[in-house]
Amino acid sequence: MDQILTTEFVWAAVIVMVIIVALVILLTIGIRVARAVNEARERRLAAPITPLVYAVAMADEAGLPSAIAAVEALNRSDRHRAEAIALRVIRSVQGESRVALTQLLRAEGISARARKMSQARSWVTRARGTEILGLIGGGRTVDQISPLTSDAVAEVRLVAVRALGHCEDESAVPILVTMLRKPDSVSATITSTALLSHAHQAHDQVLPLLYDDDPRVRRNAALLSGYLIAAGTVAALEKALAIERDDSVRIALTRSLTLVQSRTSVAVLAALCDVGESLAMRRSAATAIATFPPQWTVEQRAILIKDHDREVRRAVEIVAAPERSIL
Amino acid sequence: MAEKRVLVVEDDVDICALVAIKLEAEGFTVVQAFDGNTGLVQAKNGRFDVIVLDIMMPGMSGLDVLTALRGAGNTTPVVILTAKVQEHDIEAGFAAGADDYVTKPFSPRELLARVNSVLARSGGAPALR
Repeated sequence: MDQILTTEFVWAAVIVMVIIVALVILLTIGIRVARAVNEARERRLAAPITPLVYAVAMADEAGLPSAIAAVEALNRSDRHRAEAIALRVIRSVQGESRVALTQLLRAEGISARARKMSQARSWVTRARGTEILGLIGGGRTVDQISPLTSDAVAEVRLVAVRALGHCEDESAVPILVTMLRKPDSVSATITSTALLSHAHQAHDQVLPLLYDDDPRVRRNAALLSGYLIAAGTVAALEKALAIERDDSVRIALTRSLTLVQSRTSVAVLAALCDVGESLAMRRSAATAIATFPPQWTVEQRAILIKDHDREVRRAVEIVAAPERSIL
Repeated sequence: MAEKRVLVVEDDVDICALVAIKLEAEGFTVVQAFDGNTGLVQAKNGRFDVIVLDIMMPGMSGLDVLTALRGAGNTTPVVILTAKVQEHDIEAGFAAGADDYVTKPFSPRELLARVNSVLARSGGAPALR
């Protein structure tokens, strides 16, 4: 009896499992089919609207009002489709086309909706709203995005920092500089990229970070300064190098000096090749010297080519080869 | 004067359409290709005055297309239009034989100016409006 019950039970279990698996497979297929059908329907409905959005993007000053009016004349659901297309296209364009699409999106009242989205409970909606605010800019965008740089969700903070880089408003710079001082909050690479969008305004506010208490902040500021080239960059980098003790920061400063390529830096870098320095520092400085025009570094290379360290010798040997070919 | 023909090789449908609209509005005849392989075939078989070429595309990349074209002796001016903005990417583009390099996000107006510029340098006049 026990044996029969066990066999029946096993068969029943197998049948239930087969039914469950079949249902899961059917459900998956159903979801995929429904999604494909929806996408095809959406593509079909968007097809006549897409040219209207393109016309806005390509309109000149005189033609822009009528191009925007053509979109505004659509029914509500088609206007939402136009908005989605405009948000997709605006990421790819700059200049007049971007301005035109921004005007279309503003006319559609997206600013108010994006602001609401940026305050939603769902972090995905907050991130989407923040991204749209950054794309369309204008008005009080920076004030609206600023609190989101302290959002509890890392992804929202990241999108907020990126959005501050997109919006063409220099009041974003102090907020981004503050974020550069919080390397645990948002990746310094993301913040630095956003600051590069405001390079002219950022320079003066980034250089003081070369003296921050946190070596990570000093290092990130050093790396960024090489790209924010302005009057005083070389002097500031060389001065920071003279007093800096952390090798990771010094190497970052060295790298930025190679980007700026000032002749005064050669002597500073040569001093870092002294035997008293760490091996990492000496190798970094020698590599930096090798990137300068060969005619500026003849003396330094003549010394370094006899160095006891193979990597230091290699750095200056690499530059010696093309120089010989030129001569 | 004959119409200037431009081949736009770009997998992003929006960008391809925007470039085509801008160039056609300025009097160019535009042929579009949405992947590298098709672009290469079109470039080899058709007569074009300028090619606007994306780099990151499914299948054959823009750089592969450009290298193949130059390897086959095709000297049609090429303007690269790409999201790759690093120095070494730009260097690789010119090394492969590009005549100009425009990064995305791009200004359609600037792209038009650059197309006209490479056209003028190659001996052809800008398209008539």
